[in-house]
Amino acid sequence: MNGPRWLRALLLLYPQPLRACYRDELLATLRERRLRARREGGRRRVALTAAGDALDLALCALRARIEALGRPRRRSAAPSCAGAAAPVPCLEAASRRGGEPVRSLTVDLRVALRGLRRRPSYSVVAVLTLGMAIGLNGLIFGLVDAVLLEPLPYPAAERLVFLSSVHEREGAAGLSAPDIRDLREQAATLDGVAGFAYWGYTFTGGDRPRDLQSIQVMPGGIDLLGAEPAVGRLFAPEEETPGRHRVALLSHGFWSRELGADPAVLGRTIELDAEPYTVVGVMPPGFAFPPDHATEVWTPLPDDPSSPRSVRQNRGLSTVGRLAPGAGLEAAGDEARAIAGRLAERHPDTNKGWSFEIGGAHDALVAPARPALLSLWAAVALLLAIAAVNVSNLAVARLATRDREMAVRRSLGARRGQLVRGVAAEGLLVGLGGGAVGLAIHHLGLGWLRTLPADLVPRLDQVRLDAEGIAFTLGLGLALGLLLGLASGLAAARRGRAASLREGTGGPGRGARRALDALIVAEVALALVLLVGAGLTLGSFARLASVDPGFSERERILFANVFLPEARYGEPVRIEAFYRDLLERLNATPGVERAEAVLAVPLDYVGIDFDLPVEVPGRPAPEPGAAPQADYRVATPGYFETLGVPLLSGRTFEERDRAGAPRVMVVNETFAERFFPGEDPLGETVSIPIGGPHEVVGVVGDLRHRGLTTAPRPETFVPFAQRPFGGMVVVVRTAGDPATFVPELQQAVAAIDPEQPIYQVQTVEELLAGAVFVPKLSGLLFGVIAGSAFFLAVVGIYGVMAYAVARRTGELGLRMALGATGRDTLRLLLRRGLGLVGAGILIGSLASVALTRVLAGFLFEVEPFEPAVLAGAAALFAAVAALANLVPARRALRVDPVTALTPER
Amino acid sequence: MARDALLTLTPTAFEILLTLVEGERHGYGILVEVEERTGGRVRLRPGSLYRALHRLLEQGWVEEAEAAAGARSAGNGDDERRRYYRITEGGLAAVRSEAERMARSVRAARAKALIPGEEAP
Repeated sequence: MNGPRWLRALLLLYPQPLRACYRDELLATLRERRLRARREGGRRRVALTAAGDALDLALCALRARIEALGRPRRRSAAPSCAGAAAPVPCLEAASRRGGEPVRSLTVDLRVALRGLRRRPSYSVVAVLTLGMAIGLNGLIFGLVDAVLLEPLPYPAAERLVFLSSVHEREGAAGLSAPDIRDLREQAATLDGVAGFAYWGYTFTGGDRPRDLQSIQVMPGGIDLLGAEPAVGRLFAPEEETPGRHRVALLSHGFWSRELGADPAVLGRTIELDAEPYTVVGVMPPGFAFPPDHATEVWTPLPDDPSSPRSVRQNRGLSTVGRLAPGAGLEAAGDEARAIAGRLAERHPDTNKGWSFEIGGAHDALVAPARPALLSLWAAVALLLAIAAVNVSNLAVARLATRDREMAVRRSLGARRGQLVRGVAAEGLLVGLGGGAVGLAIHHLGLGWLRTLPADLVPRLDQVRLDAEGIAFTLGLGLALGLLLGLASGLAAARRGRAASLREGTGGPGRGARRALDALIVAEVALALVLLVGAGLTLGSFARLASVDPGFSERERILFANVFLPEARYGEPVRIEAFYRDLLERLNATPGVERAEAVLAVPLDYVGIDFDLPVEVPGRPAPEPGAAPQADYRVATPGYFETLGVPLLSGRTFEERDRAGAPRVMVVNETFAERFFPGEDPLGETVSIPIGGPHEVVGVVGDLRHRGLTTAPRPETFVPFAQRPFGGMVVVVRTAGDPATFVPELQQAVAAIDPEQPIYQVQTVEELLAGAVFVPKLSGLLFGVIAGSAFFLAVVGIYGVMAYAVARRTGELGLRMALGATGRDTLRLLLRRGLGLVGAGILIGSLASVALTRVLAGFLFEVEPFEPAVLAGAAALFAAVAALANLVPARRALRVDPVTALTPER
Repeated sequence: MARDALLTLTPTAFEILLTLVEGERHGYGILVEVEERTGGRVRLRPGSLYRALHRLLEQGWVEEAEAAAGARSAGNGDDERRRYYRITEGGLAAVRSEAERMARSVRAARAKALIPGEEAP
């Protein structure tokens, strides 16, 4: 006919009214142009003309569409474009044929909004359901994104690595300074390696003495991060030499807070631990190293051969490195292990059996949080699935109630496509509304997350609602809306095919019923999986919380760290005098029941942790490097009684265990079992590097020193008087609320030494809460998610089942009229409802078993399969299903069969 | 016609109106004449032509001609599907005002000796 088919197809791009007006004209013009092109220039010219015309046509059609969007209602102003013989206004003619798609979208949305407003309970429930699920998803995604996915804030951070030492029996440890220096010299796959140690300098330049978050780092350590100072320079290699090491790099925050952002800060001296340090640089704002630590000041780690740090056994340093260009993690690991082998040959007494391990810095940092976060993510994804299923349920069920409305609209001339589009538009609107509500929930949840202690979840401070988060949340809403619109649109189309006025009185059609059944099964299965997951997580937390930390006094205790700087407290006598004075003052203070001191409190990673080789004289000497080790602690005489640590045999420390008296030691139960199996350790001699041989005078119960999930290790205690340490934790048992005692504790310290701060003050309740914080948090979040899922599932199942039964009133009446008893009918309904729930429970159980396997990997003491949790959840669903069928069924059965069979009017 | 509407006369619309000043034309006729008159410098394609025509119809500057047999009796490709367009009073005013505006611009350009081959007066 008029030119190629594809040109005619292009005309379809035009808005319908325009197309109706100009189609013939355009085709005629195009044909003449083609003919002329052929006359004038042959095939090539024809092709060029056709291509140019096609492009022009497509662009013009698009512009016409956009313009039509801008003025959808100018129907009356439409020009007449008909031929002179029969002037018919174009747009009028077009709108009679159904209108153009873009225009009708706005119409559809308007109609949909009206429809939703007419059924506010459905709309509110659907929007809130989706909103809750979307908001939780956005929140957890934000967490996952910030904690797990965001790279560390350094250039080429993916090449940064953390190193650790591993021993086949002793497990993992840090690195020793000599090992790090050997690695630095020998490893070709590493561009730099540096050890660092967490430190707590006392800063005395401010209003009052303050403990600083500090890091001692080998020169080159900050350089290898790729960081540059904002002012000044980083550390020079020679600044690890003792005597030249008193230089400091400041954080931007410390510089502005404590030094008033002094522009002439370079070269200025600040006092750290009563010694003068020269400021050589200030780091830019936002710089943090280590990345999860709010460091205020960095100083070089001195390379002092006389310090215990220079001993190869002392594997106490954290170690960061950067992969050399072209080197991979695996190659670096291989090389590090080879170096470890050489070191073990050269230093068998210290390095035998030890190797190095290298891991990506980011992975190492977030590893503890990864499984919990990923399982939370999976949980919210399941919740979202349940919410989507639930809303689809509602939408499909609601469709069935609208058969009559649809039939009326059809009989009034609406085309089926229009009706389906309207239903789809409602789904889209519900999804978008859910996205908006989700955004609000996301925002609120973030506010709550910020109130959590930031040091307990790595990088929590990085979580925020940025453009990406908003896009994620709204995008989720849009996607769900499209899905929901598609699902209900399709359902509507299917119904529409069979819909008639007469069917308005019947139950849901066969297809819809099957869809509802499938949704019920899916919902039960998903909710069951989540419930089991929450049960396991909370059970694990409960078990963890019930672990005995090893002491019985779990209230009215206050802990405070004191660290006496070596510059002012170089000699042990001064240290002993300070603590003796402090404890005497505290014990004389009204409201104090008892005050003692210890090197490190239980459950707390911070504090001075010593891990020393132990020898029992008279026993065969162990293999080199295989000497058994035990933790080393120092305590004042009443420490065990104050904290309620049980004495199992012998005695604890007494006043007679003073300096110069025979050296004594108290060991824990695990120590006694490990070193003296089946024997009485009392009176035996144990030799340790600090202080030499000690006589064991007592055995106490095990304390959980390294967290509740870590089994107790062998532990030794020696009396403070025989080995005073400058850094101790003061333990005060108060008569009243310990939190109110902090000022008096501060005054007592200041009365002895006004320049001395106390830090890390916490009550025993805070200590215990901190130990279970992360498991508690994930248990709580999991519980909230699973609770929401269960609630949604129950509401959804009840609603859909009750609706399905209610719609069958007519059929039930017929059954009764034909002689079925009420019992028969009830049994029929129950069998159906319970069958669906049973199928869901079966599928959910199978999935739960798989889930348990995954969770068991990181939860504390989880049983691989907890039938009680499963059975409980299954029973709940069965009860809901029974109720959902029985309540409407009873109502239906009370109805007189004649009424039930009479069509609605 | 509103004054401001006159300012929205696009080059294409101007050329179309200019063509129609001489009499009724159908779409393809406009297209060919514009191309010939401008020596091929303005080449209208069908999509753009009908887009512009539609606008001019909406603005009321062009209207469809009634069947005036004399104007299209030649029978060379013309058939009854063809619509003929003619300029209205408003269209005439618009094209005139646009032409005057152009003339003023040309005068200004000439005063600055911008047009090659012409001297500043």
